[in-house]
Amino acid sequence: MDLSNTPTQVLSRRRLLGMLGGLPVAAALSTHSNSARAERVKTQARIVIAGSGLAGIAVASRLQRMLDGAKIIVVDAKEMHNYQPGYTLVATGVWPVDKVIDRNVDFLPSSVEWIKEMVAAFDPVSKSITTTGGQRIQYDYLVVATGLHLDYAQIEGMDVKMIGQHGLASVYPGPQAATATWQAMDAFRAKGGEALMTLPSTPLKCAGAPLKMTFMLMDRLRQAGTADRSKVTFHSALGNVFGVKAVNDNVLARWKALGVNVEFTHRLAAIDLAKRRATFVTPEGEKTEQGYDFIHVVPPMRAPYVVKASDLAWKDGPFAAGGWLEVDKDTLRHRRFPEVFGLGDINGTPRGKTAATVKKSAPIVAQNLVDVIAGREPSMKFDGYTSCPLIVREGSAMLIEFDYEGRLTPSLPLIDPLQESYLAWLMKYQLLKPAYVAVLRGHV
Amino acid sequence: MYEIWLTANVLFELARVHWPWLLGLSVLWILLVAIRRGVRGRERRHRVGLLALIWVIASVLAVLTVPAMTRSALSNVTYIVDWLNLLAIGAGIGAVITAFAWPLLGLVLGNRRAAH
Repeated sequence: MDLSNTPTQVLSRRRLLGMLGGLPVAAALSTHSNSARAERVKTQARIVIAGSGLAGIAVASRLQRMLDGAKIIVVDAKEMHNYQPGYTLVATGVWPVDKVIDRNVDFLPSSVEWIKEMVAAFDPVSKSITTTGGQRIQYDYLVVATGLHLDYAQIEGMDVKMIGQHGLASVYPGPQAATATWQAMDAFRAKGGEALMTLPSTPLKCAGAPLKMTFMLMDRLRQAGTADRSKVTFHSALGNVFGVKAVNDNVLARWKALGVNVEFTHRLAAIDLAKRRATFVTPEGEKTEQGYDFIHVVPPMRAPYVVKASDLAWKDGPFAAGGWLEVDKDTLRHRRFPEVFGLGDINGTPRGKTAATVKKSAPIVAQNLVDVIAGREPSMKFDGYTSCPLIVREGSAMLIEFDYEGRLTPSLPLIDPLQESYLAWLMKYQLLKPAYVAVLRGHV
Repeated sequence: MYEIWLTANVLFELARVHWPWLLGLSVLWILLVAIRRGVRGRERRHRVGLLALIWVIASVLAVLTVPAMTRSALSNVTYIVDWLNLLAIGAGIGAVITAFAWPLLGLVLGNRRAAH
């Protein structure tokens, strides 16, 4: 961390941390401050960051501290900043919606230029982007942090505006959809009935969210006393419900005990919202139609068209169909355009589209970019770390952390990742948002 | 070391959100301590015993109520790691309450002694 750029803020932070934690904290603060100060590099580089989500702002915050003289430009029209990890809490009636809505202006460093337009085109050959307002912006270095696209259009008959009505729920689109999802769930739990939970076959952001929604639906039905007259079925388009086998097996065992039915290789292909009927398709093309009282739709996900259609996307391999960004999974540097890095959901890497992934990889991208600016090879490697506090009921969760290989990698050796825990719930409920904000500010 | 840094940052961000409350409580505590300094108290060992009792009671009450205050329940605290953390949280809350009880107790006992 560079203390010279934000002396007041860091000084007050240091003072408070000293008061809160005493010597160990002061020692840790000193270690982090000194290491970051040593990495400050003088440069006139022009760095464009496409996207102002957690990834874009976190890397902007870090770069403005690590570089002296760089021009850093964030391009994104979005003014609101949504705390997406909180959507499942809003959508299950735990949090009020205002806890997930903030403003980007409160987090972007003042020295960073913010162009409030979307990227309309990437041209990595000429090292430029074009915005939706027609501006052509040259860059020396580019960080792609656009996030991903929720492809509801792949589900025939789906209408995002109808979430909250006719038993339709979907936690992903935003705070309003999360609120509407809770309205639908609340109405359903009062009577009970037939519930369908879905999972597409594409890479997902927060792959734990569909599972959390299922666990919380079961808990809400139990609390309302309507579980006995309800049937909940989870339709996975894959052969599992979670990509990490130990977690998958644990969740399936829990669902068996709770009475959740699971159908594998059932992809939601179409939905008739008025008639409350869903059509599922198997890989062999066999169609089954099912009625419901409540349905939670998880959309297929892909890269935004602007990335998918550009030279930056994978051209072959498993990530080509979704148009994901072609980055090296270790350095997160583009495999063909060395001045380009990727961060967050947009990356075509084996796992990890969560805030925890950004928390771990933003410092790596920032450091590797600084290395490249300084004429060195990227020095840091990302292990694919992802974390998911998997809620199993209101008041209890499992703190699951894993890497690219699907190995469970608990940060604290004492904690069993598959043990349901009040502490994991407390983290999700109370502590992860402050941690998220610290990531935005580039402090952790 | 990173976990300490992360925890410290989480506490800092929590403090940033709740700073009006923290500021108000800090001012109140300083005022109480300042008032207490003007009052002669009972023997130190009596106060320490009472304060220790207050800390224990406040900590136990915090352990019993914190889960419900965080949309959970004591019945969800079944894991040894949960218990250790909950006890630490309870002890911390108990310490804060005791910090306020200390000047208040001095005032009450000092005034009672002066009345005698």
